[in-house]
Amino acid sequence: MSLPDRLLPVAVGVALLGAWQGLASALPPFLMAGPLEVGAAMADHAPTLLTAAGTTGTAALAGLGIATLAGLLLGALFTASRTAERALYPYALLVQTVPVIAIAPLLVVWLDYGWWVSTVSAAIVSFFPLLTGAHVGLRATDPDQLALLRLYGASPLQQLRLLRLPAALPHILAGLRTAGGLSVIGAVVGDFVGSNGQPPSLGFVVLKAAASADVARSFAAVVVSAILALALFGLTRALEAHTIGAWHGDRSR
Amino acid sequence: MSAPPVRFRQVRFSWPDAEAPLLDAFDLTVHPGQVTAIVGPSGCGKSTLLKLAAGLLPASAGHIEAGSDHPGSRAYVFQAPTLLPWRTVADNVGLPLDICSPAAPDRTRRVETALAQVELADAAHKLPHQLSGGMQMRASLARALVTRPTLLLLDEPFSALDAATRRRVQQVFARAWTHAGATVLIVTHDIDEAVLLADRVVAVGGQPLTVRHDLTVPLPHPRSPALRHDPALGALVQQVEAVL
Repeated sequence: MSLPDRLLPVAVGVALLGAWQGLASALPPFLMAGPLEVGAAMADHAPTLLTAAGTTGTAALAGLGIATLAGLLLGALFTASRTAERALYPYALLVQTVPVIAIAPLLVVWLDYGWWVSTVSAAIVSFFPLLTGAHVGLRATDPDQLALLRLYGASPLQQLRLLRLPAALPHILAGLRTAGGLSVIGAVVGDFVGSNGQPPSLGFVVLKAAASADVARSFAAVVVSAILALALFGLTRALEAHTIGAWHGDRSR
Repeated sequence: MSAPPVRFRQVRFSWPDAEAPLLDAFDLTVHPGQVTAIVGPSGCGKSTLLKLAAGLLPASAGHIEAGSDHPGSRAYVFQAPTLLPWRTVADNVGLPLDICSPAAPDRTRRVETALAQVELADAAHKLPHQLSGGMQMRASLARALVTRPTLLLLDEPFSALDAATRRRVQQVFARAWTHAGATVLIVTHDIDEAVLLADRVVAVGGQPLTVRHDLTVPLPHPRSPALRHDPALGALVQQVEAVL
């Protein structure tokens, strides 16, 4: 990448921040906060925002973990049994199509206020990409490689361990990458509905600050949410590089 | 364990939804310890014969005898190398042992021997994508040899290679299977290759598949690649070509 190519996104970023600051200066502070005010709010409320990032971040991670486990198990079941796939796929799709914001109040009814609402909400929105990744990946096994394992009498468990699961990893990790960003959205939605502020969560901070017309603090929590989603994305990229980087993708071509 | 014969007796096979059977009352005996090449036009069912012998496809009727059913006694080399991209070359070669005899104390030595047989000892720790096409096919053969099979089934193993690599890999294969002392059944659509490598060439064709010609190649092993210019070999090739 040449220097102008590298500088281009930086220049766009600076221009956008400038435009944002310009817009904020033209509007009253209870309507809009510029990047400078948001930065100051982040510094002022750093301890609360850090605690909130921890609460929402762990909910997103735990939700992602639950979704990964459920997606892998159901993906494996769908691969093993067409009947199970036909019977259960419409309901798996339902989880994807029903908006999580509509389910979230029910989660409060079932789970009471607190961290679990955000965790389950994160799991619900992360589930489908992981199921699809596992299902497509486990189905994508090369028929000749499978024939080879069968020739040597590999048991279904050996086929899964030695071939199907490693071959599915690129698809599963692609699903995880998509689900990583979604899990933060799910956790914040869960925070909106289910968080009582003990401990504070990012969604709770956004709502509370907006209610008191503290737009800068609200934006600060949004920025921290974005950083959290980017961090999760980076984590999944690092996991990809560590597990399949040596043989999959650009380097293996 | 001695090399077994392969016998097809009155074998019938149809693909699901196919109008006519691919094989019907098909008979063929492959002699033990020999290299037999099956030649025929593309899509005629040569590879199906091999998969039936390997037990990878079930015959609808008839009887197939292809040595012991003990895992590892039959080995198969596919048209593509079918190496697992996440395993090193050595681990790919050791894969059959990991399945058949996971606790084999001599795994490392057997993998090393198989790699040496195909002249790939130096590439043991590389990943498949770091190898050339010819090297990948040789790794695939090493994987087939690692269980010391008595029956070696090869499905057009040289078809994806360029001419120069093809000749070199053919020589490596020929040396390796001579050393293995197994019954070798190789499917190819290249008649020159069949005559150069095999003790016997069986030309097949038609639907249902029938044996069109059965030729013994009376040339001693090892056969040098220069033999392809020998008029005696040329005459044998012409015989098979005339039938196909």
